[in-house]
Amino acid sequence: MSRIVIGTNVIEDCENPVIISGNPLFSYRVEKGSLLFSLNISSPPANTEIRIKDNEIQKGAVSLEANSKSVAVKLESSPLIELLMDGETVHLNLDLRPLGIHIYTDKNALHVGGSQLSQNIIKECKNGIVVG
Amino acid sequence: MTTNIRNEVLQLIGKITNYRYPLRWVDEKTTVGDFDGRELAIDVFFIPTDEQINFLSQIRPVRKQISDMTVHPCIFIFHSPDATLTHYSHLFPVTRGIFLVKGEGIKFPLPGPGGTESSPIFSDTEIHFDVKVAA
Repeated sequence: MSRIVIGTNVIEDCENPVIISGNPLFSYRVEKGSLLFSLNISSPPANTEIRIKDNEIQKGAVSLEANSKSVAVKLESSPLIELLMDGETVHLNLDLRPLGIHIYTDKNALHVGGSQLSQNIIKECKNGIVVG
Repeated sequence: MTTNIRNEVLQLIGKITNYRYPLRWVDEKTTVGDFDGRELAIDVFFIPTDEQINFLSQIRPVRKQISDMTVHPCIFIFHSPDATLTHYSHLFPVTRGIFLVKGEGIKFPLPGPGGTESSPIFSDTEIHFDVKVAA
């Protein structure tokens, strides 16, 4: 079972939790005690392309910090995405606004443009949240 | 003014104000009221009255750059949190408490740079939430 919490929304057992412009935004897996994180943001819609595969930055001027339970990706000093593992649940905080994509989370909601998603449950769907 | 320039201006203002306030270029279809200079006006939403001067101070370093991009100076129209919710709540729809199982998920059009609009579309049931409140 996979359970991801994004801005108080729960996405459970979905193949692609978040898709932006046709590309799955992120994926993760645990291998030999290591958390391996992948991120894919294309340009456009972002103002710069970012590609990370299993914690290895392949494209984009970003930094990544990872340990066995969390991963954080920053663009200069701006946090873009943070993934925290808490048992079976993964908490995802993201802020893609520095990339020109108006999607971010706060403690209450996931914001997509002016729209707020809060306390929703998406379960057993192929895709959870699809943008663009 | 091209769409790209309009988007760049919003991105520039958003960045320098730390994306604190949703912004958009005034929309002739949904803006309340009519006035001269509408084509160079930017709505600033959810901004308390006592933060408006600070907003103008924050953008001062890029105002010249913005004027160069837009050719003319821009007008900023401030909407307090109460006024935003009273007159422009259709730009900020809230989807709460949905339980979606074995569907196609929740879809959104790609949002513009200012952080307004972008209503969810539930494609599996073909319900389109487009909440609008008459001003």
